[in-house]
Parts: sequence; C-alpha cells; structure tokens
Amino acid sequence: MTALLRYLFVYYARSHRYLAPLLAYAGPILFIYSEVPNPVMDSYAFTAIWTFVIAAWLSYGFIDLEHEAQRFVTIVHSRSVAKYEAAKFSLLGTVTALLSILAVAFPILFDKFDRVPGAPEAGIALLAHLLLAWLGIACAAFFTERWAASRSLALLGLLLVLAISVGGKGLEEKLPETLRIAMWLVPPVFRISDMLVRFGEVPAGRIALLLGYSALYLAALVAAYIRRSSRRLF
Amino acid sequence: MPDTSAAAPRALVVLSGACKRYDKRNVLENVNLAVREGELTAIVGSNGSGKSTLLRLLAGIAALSSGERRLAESPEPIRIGYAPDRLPKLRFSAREYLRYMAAIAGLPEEKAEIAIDRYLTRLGLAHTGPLQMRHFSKGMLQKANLIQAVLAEPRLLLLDEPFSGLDESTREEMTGLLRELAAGGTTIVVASHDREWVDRLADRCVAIENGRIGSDETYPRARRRVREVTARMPGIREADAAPRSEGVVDCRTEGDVVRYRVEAERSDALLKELLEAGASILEVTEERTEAKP
Repeated sequence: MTALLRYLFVYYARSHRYLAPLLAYAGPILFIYSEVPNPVMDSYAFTAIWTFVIAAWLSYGFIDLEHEAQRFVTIVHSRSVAKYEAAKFSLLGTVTALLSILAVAFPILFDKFDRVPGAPEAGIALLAHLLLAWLGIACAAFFTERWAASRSLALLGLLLVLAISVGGKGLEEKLPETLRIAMWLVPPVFRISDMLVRFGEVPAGRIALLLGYSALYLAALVAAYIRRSSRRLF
Repeated sequence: MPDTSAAAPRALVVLSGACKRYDKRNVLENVNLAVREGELTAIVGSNGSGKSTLLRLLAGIAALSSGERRLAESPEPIRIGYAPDRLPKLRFSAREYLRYMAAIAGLPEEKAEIAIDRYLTRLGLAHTGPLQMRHFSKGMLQKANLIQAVLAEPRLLLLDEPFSGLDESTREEMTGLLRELAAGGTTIVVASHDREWVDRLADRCVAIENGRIGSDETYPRARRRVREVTARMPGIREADAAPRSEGVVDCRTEGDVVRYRVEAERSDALLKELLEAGASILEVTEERTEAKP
C-alpha cells in the first residue's frame, strides 16, 4: 500500500492539478484573517465549509487523473481494485487532513481571533474540518467521468450535491415537517456548520451524536464507492 | 473446430459463457476460453472485434456482464502481468516508473533493481536516464510497457498489440524476449492482428469474430525446430535473396543483410551455399519452434 501511495502522490504532484484548488483554498482563508480580531467558531464554520468545497475539487481532479491504460496496469500490479481505490482515498484524506490542521492552527498560531479558543473548541473544530474534508472527497468520487454519462453532467451533479449539502438548512426549513427527515440523507455538511456557529448552545451529547453520525455517513459513502468500483470494474 | 473446452486440464484462467456489454452493445458474447498453462496463445481479430476486452476480462480488470472467470487453484496467488496496447506519456523516467510498478507488485527492492537493469539494457532503454516517458517514442514506450508487465515474473502474461507500429529491430528484440519467457514456462496471451507474429511464435491461435470465438486452433506440440541465419551479401537484390536451399521457411532483406529462417536440420546446407556464394555469416540463432505444422 505504501508503494501505491508514493506512486499516486508523485503522479498527482507532477500533474500540477492541485495548484488551482490549493490557491483557491488559501486565498479566502488568508483574506478573512487579514483583519483581526475574528470570532472563533464562526470563522471555523466558514473554513470548515470551504475545506469541504476544496476537498471535493481536489477529489474531482484526482480520482480519474491516472490515464485509463495506466490505471489498468496499476490495478493489475496492485492485485485489487479495492486496494487501489482505498489508496486514492487515503492519499486525498492525508492531504486534506493537513489542510484541515492548517485551517484550524493558523488563526491560533498567528493570533487572528478575538480570544484564545479552548482545547474543546479547537478539538471539535478540527474534527469538523476533517469530517467535512473527507465528506467532500467521498461526495466528489461519485461524480466522475467514469460513472457519469459525460464530464459536464458529472460536474453539474457534483455542484448540485455541494450546494444542497452546504445550503441544506434553508431547504430543510422550507420542507413540510413530514419530509424533513429525508434531509438526513443529504451529506450532513450544513448540520456540522450550524453546530459550529451555535457551539455554545448545543449540548455536548448532541455534538457527539452529530459527529458520530457524520463519521458513519462518511464510512458508508466510502464503502459504497469501493464496493461499486470493485463490482463494476472497467 | 472452435475449442470450447472450458474445463480443459491445466487451465490457468478460464472464461465460461463470458459476455461483455458496453453501452448496450455486445462486445463479447458467450466466450468460452481456457488459457492453458505454458502455452503462448494469440488472440487475433480485426480492430474492434473485442480482443482488448477479452484480455481485460482475462486480467480481471473488466467486469463480466454475464458468465464466469475462474483462476486455477494455486498455493500462491497467480501473478499476472498486463501490457495495454499503449502506455500514456507519463511524467516519470523509465527507471522511476518501473521501480514504482515493481514496488506496487510487491517485488523486493534489490530483486527489482536487478531485473530493471537487465531489461532496460536488453531492450536498449538504459541510456534514457532521467528522460521522462512523455518524451519517449512509441517504440520506447512499448518497450517500457513490456518491461513493466514482465518485471515481476508473472505466471500469466497478457499483452495487447505489443508489436503495433514498431520498427523491425524493436519487434525482433521484443519477439526474442517473448520467446525466452515462453520457453521459461510463462503462459502468454497476446492480442494481435499481426499474423506474421502469430505464425512465428504462437502455440495456439484464437480468432475473435464479431465478439465470438470464430476459430481456436492449437498447433501440434512436436513441431520443426527452426534456425535464423543472418548473412551479409554485398550487392544483393531482394529478388536474389529468395529461398535457396530446401527447408528455407522465409527470408527478409535489409540493405545487404539477409535473414533466412530455415529448418534446423537443413541449416548446414544453407550455410554452405551462402559461404560458397561469398556471403559473411553474421549470426545463427535457434528459434523455439516453427508454428505451422
């Protein structure tokens, strides 16, 4: 697995496809922290959502990056499609975990907040960033050329899912009471963001439940993707 | 008669009733094929006949729409080498790329280095150094492609059009390597529309027609041994190089160099005749078998 990770990383690094999303990631974060002081959890809510969007972008550009013929070769050498797909998730997961750590640590280290956040706040913020980053990767993995009729349809589908995931709160409020439960099928991005904004008001148990649910949602998405890849092959 | 004996003994990989559909189009239909251990099988057919898809099904990287793929039971997992019809122009040097592929295949580093050195030298890529494969010619990419497939000493080697678009000397180099691997017991399946290659090397020829097996011909095991005699004959014209002695299977000229393929037991007579005609003998090599019975 280590060899596969190293190879995929070098392949990705030499493609330069990461440049645009990374610049797009850094820009707004540096901009909002260019003025001080900033409210702690509101700022984290923004950077967590932004991490979700950028992780989806990175994933969209990476999942189908390897040329098809070379992908066949790599999979034959790996001897398992599941291993190959798991390696891609692991690589993206690691890269976006680093981005999440930066997003959480940067404002603390450079004194960009109106107060120093406590360990529970920083810890929950980091977990929220990580979960949203990985949800972004998993969501985008389903919207690639390989599985959609065309690249433009895939992109359209992905943008729709990102929009509903981020703006789900407004949509949920407009739905009749009986249909609201269906919104739990939507990636819980807006719920995590809302929890960060209302951090002081939400009981700890509810935060734990939400993060646990999000982790399960993520695991289900990744498992579904790997299972589908292993069955459909090429 | 097509050989549909899907349960043939010593089969390394078997496809039974294999069908593959892409976009509601049947690319392969009801294919029954047992790839027998130690054989060099050629899959022939026109462009778009389903050869590449059949190779991918054998490799296990394409899912069957219906039917079954079975690998022989083996104490160790059966290692497969696969070379697609062409490698993309990658941003790796040949050595870097082969190191990664060997490592992914689980080859120990030291063993991989020895094998990489040997194959790069043998196929004339050792000089490419840090040059990335995106700057390689088609022939160079095909060589790197073949090396990555054979590097980990696979038991089953699947090659998709390995000779397509290559010059004569590259084809010869690659043919020589395949011949050695086959002689060493590697089971090889090659998709090719190059009948010359099939005639020279294959033990078995499976023809795909409209997504089905049209014919499946196994050549007799006890075949004639063939030698290749390379001679320099200054001033020779192609017409003059036509088979001289009995037993000459074919001959090709490149400038003033002529290559004869001759039945082994008749090669001495040909050599004598060439020397008497003032030719210089450059090389005599043994081919494994002569395909045509």
